[in-house]
Amino acid sequence: MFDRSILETDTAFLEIMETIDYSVLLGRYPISLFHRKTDTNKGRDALALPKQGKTDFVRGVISADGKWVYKLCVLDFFWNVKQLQPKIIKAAGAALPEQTITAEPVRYREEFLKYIASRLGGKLGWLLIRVI
Amino acid sequence: MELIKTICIDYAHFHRAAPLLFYHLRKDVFKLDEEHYQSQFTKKLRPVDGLGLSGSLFFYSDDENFIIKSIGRRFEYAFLYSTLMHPLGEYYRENPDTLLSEITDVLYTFDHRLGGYLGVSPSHYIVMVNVLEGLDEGKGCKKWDLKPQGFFEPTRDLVPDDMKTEAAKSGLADELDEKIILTRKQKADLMYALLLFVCSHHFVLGTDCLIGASWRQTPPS
Repeated sequence: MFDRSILETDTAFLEIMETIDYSVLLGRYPISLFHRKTDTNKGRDALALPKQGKTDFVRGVISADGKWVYKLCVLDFFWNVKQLQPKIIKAAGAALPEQTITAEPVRYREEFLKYIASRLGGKLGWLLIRVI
Repeated sequence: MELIKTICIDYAHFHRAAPLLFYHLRKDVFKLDEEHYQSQFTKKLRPVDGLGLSGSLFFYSDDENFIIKSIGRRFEYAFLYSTLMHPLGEYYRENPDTLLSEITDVLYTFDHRLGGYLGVSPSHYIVMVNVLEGLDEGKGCKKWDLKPQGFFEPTRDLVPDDMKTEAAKSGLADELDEKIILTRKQKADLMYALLLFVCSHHFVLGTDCLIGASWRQTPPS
């Protein structure tokens, strides 16, 4: 019927794994750095022009105005709250009495999705985060 | 087939954790050329400057296709070995479109020469695909590390000050300082296919929807 978006699916997995603090690494390249795909070397060709209309953020997508290629991935997903719990309490007690500490995977995921939608979603992203 | 279970980087010996799991991931899921991959570890690695936001050591493989990153803290690698590694492998397999960085190996060593000159000798490393390969800020490229602020910040709060960069000390991820121009489909695939579906449904039913107006010009594909 319909699919969940990639970030929703990925973060749902990270929520099950009870991790927090992961981030999105986003890169922006001028499209002029890219060339048509050639199969000369055995490694991946990082600067092969992404296919138009194909949505593969890891290999790159072409921006709506055709000027850029964007690539992104989700990084640093090894902070598991169960493993962290004793450290959090210790750090919170000693150094951060005033800071609101959020170490719930569910809430981190929600804030993460909202943050990314608001930064990468343009006007639509801002509207949607007001709805949800 | 014979699995290569140890490798040697800069004269330090490494053991592969779960060599079979990662061999199959590289071959079946990430579609990497195994010969090319293995050959990267016979060449010299290049240390990447700075410890970065996470306080880790980074090395590039010879051709920069891969990044080797230290996992310095016990609660991180304990979680990786005991809980995450196998479900993650399964997740990669079932979700070929995933954006989770592609981890191609988990390595450990009892040899403390690598990175020793920095006064830190982590024993656990991951190898991952360098997604931003070829990103050159001198050629008009730019990158950002994005995550919500105002949360517990493990790097800032737990890592000793002398191991952190200035950025890590302040605990700041990057603020996105330019507009990212994605097509509607790209945004939907990335972030909110579900929400768009719900809204389009409302729209079709004639119910008012916040984003209904913008859909009149371009119907959803």
